[in-house]
Amino acid sequence: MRRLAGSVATILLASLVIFVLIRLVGDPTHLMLPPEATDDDRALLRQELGLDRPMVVQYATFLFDLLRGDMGESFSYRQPALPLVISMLPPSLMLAGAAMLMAVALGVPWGLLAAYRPDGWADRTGRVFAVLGQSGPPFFVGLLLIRLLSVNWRLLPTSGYGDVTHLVMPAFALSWYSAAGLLRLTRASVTEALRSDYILTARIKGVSDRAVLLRHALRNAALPIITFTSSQFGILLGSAVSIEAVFAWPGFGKLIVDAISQLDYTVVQAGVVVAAVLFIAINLCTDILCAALDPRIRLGS
Amino acid sequence: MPGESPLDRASLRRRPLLGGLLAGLAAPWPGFAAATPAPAVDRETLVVGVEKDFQSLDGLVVASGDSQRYAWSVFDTLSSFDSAGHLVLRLATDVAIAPDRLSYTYRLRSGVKFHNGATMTSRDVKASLEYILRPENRSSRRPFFAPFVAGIDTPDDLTVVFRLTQEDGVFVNKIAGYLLIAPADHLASASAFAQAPVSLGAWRVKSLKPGRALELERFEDYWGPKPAIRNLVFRVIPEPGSRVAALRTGEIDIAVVVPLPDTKALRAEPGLHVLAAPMASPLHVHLYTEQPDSPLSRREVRQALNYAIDERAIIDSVLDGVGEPLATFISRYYPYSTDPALAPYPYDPEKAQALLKQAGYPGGFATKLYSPNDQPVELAEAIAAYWEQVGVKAAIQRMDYESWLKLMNAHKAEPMAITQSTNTIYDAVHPVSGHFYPGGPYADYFNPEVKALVDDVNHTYGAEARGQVFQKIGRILHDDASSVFISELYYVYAWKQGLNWSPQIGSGFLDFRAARWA
Repeated sequence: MRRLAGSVATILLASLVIFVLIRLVGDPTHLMLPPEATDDDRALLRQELGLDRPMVVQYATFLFDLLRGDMGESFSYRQPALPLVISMLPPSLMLAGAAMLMAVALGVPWGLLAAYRPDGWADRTGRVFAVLGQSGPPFFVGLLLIRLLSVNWRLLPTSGYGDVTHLVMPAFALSWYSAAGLLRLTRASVTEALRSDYILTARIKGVSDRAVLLRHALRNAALPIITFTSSQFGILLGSAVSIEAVFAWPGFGKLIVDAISQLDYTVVQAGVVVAAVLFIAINLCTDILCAALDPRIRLGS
Repeated sequence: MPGESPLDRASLRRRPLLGGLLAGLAAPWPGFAAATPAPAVDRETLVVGVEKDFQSLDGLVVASGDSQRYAWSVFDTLSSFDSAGHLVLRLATDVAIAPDRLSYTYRLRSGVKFHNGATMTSRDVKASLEYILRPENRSSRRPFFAPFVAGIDTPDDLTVVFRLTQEDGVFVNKIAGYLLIAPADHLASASAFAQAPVSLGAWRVKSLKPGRALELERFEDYWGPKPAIRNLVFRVIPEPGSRVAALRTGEIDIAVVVPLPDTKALRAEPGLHVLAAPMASPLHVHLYTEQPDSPLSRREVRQALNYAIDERAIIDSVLDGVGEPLATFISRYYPYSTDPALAPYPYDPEKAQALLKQAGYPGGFATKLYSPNDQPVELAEAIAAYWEQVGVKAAIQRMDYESWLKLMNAHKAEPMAITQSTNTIYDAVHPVSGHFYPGGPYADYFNPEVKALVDDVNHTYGAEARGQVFQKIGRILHDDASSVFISELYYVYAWKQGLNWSPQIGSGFLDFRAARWA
C-alpha cells in the first residue's frame, strides 16, 4: 500500500514538474501563428488553448481530466494526446526490448568467458569492445551500419518500420552501449564470485567448471546484472531518440522530443506521465525478479 | 593571425566533429554501390522521403511550412501559382474585382468533384474561409484574412463574392496561397478533418501513419489532367543522412531537403538528378536601428557591415556553394518585385573601415549577434570573423529556435539577429511590411519612404504595378542598408534520373501533378 502511494506521488510530482517546466520554456502561440499575427491574435489563441487561465487552475483542470483518462488534445496532431502517446509505445518497447535482448546475448556470455579465462582471447577482445561500446555514440554506429549493410552491401533496408529486417540495425546500434556495460559488469561480478569461498568449496567437492560457472558463480553474480539490465531498459527507452531519428523509427522518444521543440504541452505532459508509469512498472518487475532469485529479498521488507 | 582570411579560421571550425563524421559517411566509399535508377516500387508509384512527420493534415489550419509537402496533392484552390510563381486559375474560371476594390467575385468551375463524391459549390468555398476565420479552429491563416474579410456571399452555386472591410492589394495571392477548399459538411469536426481531410486534389488520403508515412491514392474523378502517378507515398525520414542513403539504395525515389554537405557528392553520382531550388527566402542579419545611441542607427555603419562581408566566400564555405549573394531584402525569386540592376554589396573591407571612421567608430565597436539553431553556427562565426577584420567584435548568442523566435516576436533580439523570411504567396508584402512597417511583427528599422511605399502597395494591383513599388522599396533598403544581406536560400532535391519531375521555384511546396516515370 505504501509502495502504491509512493508510485502515485511520483507520478503526480513528475506531472507537476513537467507541467511547470514546459510552460517556462515558451509560448506555443509564437510557433502556431505566423509572424503577421498580432498580439490580439495570440491572446485569442491562448484563450482557445486555455492558456490564459492561472497556472494553478490549468493544473487542477489537468489533474481532474487525468482522472478521467483525458490528457487533452495535441496542439500539433489535433488528436487526443494520451492515445497518441500510447500508440507510439509498441515500436519503442519493441526496439528497446530487442536492443536489451541483443545486449544481454552479447554482453553476458562474453563477460562470463572473460571472467573465466582472465587475459584469454575473450577477455582481451572484450576489453576492446567495452571501450568501443562505451565511447561510440549509438547514432554514429547506426549511420555506420546503414553505410555498410544497406548502401554498400544492400543487405538490409536503410530505415523504416516494418518486418524484422527493419529492426536489426536500430536494435544493434542501440544495444551497443548497454552490451559493453553488461560485459564489464558481468566480468567484474563473476570474477568476484569466482574468488568466493563457496566456489572454492564447490571446486574441492569436484563440481565441474561448467557447473561452477553457470550454476554458482553466475547465479550469485546475477543480482547486479539484473538490476543493471532493468535500469538499462529505461535508459534505452529514453536514449532511443537519436536511433529513432536515424532509422526513421516511429517511437515514443522522438514524439516527445518533437513535442518539446514544438511546445505541444499536452503531448509532453502525456508522455511524461506514461513514462513515469512505465518506469515504476519496470522497477516493480525488477524487484519481483530479484526476490525470486534471492530469497533474502522480500517485497516490502 | 595577421594576413589570415577570416574564412580560413571560420572554416577550421565550420564542421564540428559530428558534422565532419556525417559528411565523411556521406561521401562515396570504396566498393560503393551506385544509386538504383529503377522506381522504388513500380512505375505508378512515387516514394518521397521527407524530413518531417505529418502531424495534422488540416491544410486550412497548419502553417504553410508544414502543409507544403501535401497541400498541392490533397487539396485544391480557386487559383494557384505556376512553377515560377505566376498566378493561375484552378477551381475558378474567372475573377472580377469591383471598382472600389472591396469585393472580389470568383466564378467556379462546374461539376468539380470532392474526394467524397460531392460536387463543389460556392457554399463549400464560403465554409472553407469561415472555418479559417473561426478562432476555435486555431488556423495559422486567420491573421491574413480576419482584418480584411467583411463577409462572403454565394449568389448562386458557382459564384462566390468576398466582401472586404478595407483594400488589400494582395488578396488574390492570399486566396491562391491560403484558401484550400474543403466540403462544408466535412468541416464540422476539426480533429477528424485533421486526420482524414477531404478536398479536390489529384490524390486522396489512403492512410496516415504518425511518424512513418502518408499514403495517397490517385483520385480518379479529379477535375484536372490525370496524374501519371497512381500511388504517392511520403516516407518520414528525419535524419538527412538516412534520407540520402535511402535514395542511394533505391528505397525512395525523391529525397527532399538534402543536406548541403551531401550536394556535391550526390551531383557526382550517376543515376541521380540533383537540383538546388531557390526558396525566395532572403538570409540576412536583422538590425535594430532605432536606438539613437546605437552604432546601427548610422547608415554608414550598416553599410560598413555589408561591405565587410564576402558573401560569395561565406556561401562557398559555410553553405557548401548552395546560395547566391543577396542584393536587398526582397528575393529575386518573386515573379516581380526585383530590380535586376541591383547588385549585392561588394566585399571591400577598406571601404568598410572608411565608413566606420566617417560614422565616428574608427576602431569599430562591440556588439551581439543572435544566432538561432536552425541556422549553422558556422554562419554566425564567419560573419563575426569578417566583421572582426574591420574592428567590429560581435559576440555570438547561440540559442534554440523557440527562444530566438520569442525574442524576435518581442523585439528583444537586439542589436542584431540572423534570420530569414519565407514565401507562400509570391508577393513581398508580408516580409516587407513585417520587417519595415511601423507595428510590423519584426519591424525594428523604420524609414518614412518605405512606409509610404508600403502604404501605396496596399492599394496597388497587378504584378507590373506592384513590382514597380517593390523595386523602389528594394532599392531604398539596399542603399540604406536596412539589414546585412547574406544569401538567397535554397532547398536541395535529389531524385532518380528515370523520373521526370522538377521542384517548385520560390517556395517549398511539392507538386507531383506532372511527375511521371520516363
